[in-house]
Amino acid sequence: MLRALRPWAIVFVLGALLSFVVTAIGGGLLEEKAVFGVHESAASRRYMLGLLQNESDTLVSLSPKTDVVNRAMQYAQSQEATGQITPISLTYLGGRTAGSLAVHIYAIEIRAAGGQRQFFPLALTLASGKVVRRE
Amino acid sequence: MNKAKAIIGLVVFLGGAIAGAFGAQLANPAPPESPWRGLPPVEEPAAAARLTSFLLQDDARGLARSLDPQLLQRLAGAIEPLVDIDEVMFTGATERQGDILSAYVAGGRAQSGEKVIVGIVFRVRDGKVVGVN
Repeated sequence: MLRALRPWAIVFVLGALLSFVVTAIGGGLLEEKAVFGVHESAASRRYMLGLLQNESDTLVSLSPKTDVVNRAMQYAQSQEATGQITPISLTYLGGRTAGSLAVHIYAIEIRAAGGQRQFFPLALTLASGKVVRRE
Repeated sequence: MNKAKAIIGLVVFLGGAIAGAFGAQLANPAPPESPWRGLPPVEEPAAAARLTSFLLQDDARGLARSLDPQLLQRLAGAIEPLVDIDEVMFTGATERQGDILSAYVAGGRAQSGEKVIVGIVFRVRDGKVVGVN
């Protein structure tokens, strides 16, 4: 019985592998050429949520590997910033992918500790899923 | 018999293809939900569009006429490490209390010849560019 099913199993696996590769490569190319526009990446959204919610673990996990002192500074900054801002809105302004680089841009609206509202942009540059630049 | 086998083979292959495409989607998960609202998009402001055309045309004089030295300095920081700009793509804009943030991704080459992309955002108020990030 199992021997009879083996050829079909091979055909199924071949179909799955081919489709996986075509979907992954094709999706990447369409994204790079912005054929259907660029979709927000899960990593950049997680980074923004981590930033606005002061989740230093998330920020460290989405940053390139760095030394222990730099990681400690990141934790310290997050602790210092806890409770100082209240996010009001987070708007994705789009982005672009080119090779292993991706840029995703956001507009952020917060209420600072003093009560004043601030509205400013933040552009994230990701390389291989890690945030390598933030400004 | 052979025809039936071929049809079954095709169906099994298509089943595998659907499973593979589904697997590729799972490997690339959707972004998590944001707990905050998003602002509605607005049209690209003309003042920011004009600046991007200066960038594309390599028009330093046009940029110097349009931005004060402080904003030029900020723009220099924003496009770093680009030295040759091949394209500037408008990605979106939104508005809050009269301030429009207009976002772009510029692509080109760094000094080393490496292809890079950077994000640029112009802040436009009353039809004028008043900030660059």
